[in-house]
Amino acid sequence: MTCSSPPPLSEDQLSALIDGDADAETLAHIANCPSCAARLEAARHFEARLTHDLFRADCPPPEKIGEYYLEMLPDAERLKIAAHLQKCVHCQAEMAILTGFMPAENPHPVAQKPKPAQPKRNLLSDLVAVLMPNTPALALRGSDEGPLMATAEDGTTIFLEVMTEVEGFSLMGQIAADDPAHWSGALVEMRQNDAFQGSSFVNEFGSFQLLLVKTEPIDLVITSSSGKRLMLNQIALSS
Amino acid sequence: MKSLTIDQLAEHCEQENGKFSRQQESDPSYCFELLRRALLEDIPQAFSTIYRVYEPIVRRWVYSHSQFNLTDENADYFVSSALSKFYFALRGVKFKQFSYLPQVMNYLKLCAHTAITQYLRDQQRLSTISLDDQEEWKQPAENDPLPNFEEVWGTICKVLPDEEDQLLVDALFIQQMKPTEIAAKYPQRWDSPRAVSVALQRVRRRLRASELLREHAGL
Repeated sequence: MTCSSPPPLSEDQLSALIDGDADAETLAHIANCPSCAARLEAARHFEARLTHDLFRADCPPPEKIGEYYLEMLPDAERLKIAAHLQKCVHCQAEMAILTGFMPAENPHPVAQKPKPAQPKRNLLSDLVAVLMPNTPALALRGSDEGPLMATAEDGTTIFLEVMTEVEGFSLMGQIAADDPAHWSGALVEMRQNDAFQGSSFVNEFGSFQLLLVKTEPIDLVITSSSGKRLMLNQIALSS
Repeated sequence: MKSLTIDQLAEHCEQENGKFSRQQESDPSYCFELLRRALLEDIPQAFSTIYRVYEPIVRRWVYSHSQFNLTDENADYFVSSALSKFYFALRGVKFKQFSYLPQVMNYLKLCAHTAITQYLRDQQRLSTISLDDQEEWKQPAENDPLPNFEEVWGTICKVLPDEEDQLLVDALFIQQMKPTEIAAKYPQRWDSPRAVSVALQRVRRRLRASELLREHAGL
């Protein structure tokens, strides 16, 4: 494809277009030239990709900055963090917030008004496991339906079943994933009506168990040691 | 202390926490023993109890954080994130570096801060690109640096061997600074935002001309 109205736009004119600083002549050219418009799109895509990959890529994680603040780091790491804090405006801002947050707790804390309930949003990294269609509620008193199955978009599948115990019921879970080791040792948190009910850990075989004391729908959050979260929301129980 | 059951420790711990919050003299040893069993000995029931005991305290910290209202999430999300970070950071031998309760509580409070901070960092990074690009370049929000950063930065340094050009790329792409901010921070190198903009034009031309970088960007 060649420029329909030569000369083609220069790289600096493309940069001005990306920045929103282009003059009228450049804007008119790009509106009428598919070739230069394609070059602009490629340049925009290129810079967006660099921005995505480089933005704060050399910043230490917030935990490390926190451990630096708490003086928990070995000398070599402490010096590295100190050097980074000298140059990085973003980490300097985070450190300022941390130093305001960490000191002695308010002895008479005022209960904060909670935010109005909002639909739970997840980062792109969170996996939400979705129940198979027409799945009945988890049966508390035995069922021939078999375990409940929910699958996340990466194929990770959770199987859930309720088992009768001497003093009530327990929720048995099993995670099946392409990389089973990833979920070994993961923390499992169970909530009902937004209240924490109990926690457990995924064992080396991918299974976990939690005591059930209420019959409200269950929300499960499973967090791996790398921070990846698998969520299963509003699993209904039936007697 | 070691003869007490987890439920007994929990009851004592909650009582002592109550005394502490009323600024009365309190004994931290029950809570510390509960934490020791949960984190050093990795006893699931002990951690579940720790979660229950400290969840209200962590929730209060989340609400009091100056950045909480900048997020789109409710407190549950950060309470859960903070307690899981706390568990994974301190379980096993890592707990041995703590010898008294205030140290452990400081670290738990730090986890509340890092849960919110990491969330905002991830949101900030996503906001630098369009929704279509977000889907295309989906990255897990993990604590480790991006796996291809060293490779990309190495290539950039080959394309731009001049240290001043590398500084500009750092300022523009890594720190997302504007020309005005760059000129203010490095006045000895660039005496005005205009000088920064002129230098940036040259740097961007050369970056976009690099075959390796274009290949990395999928072009």
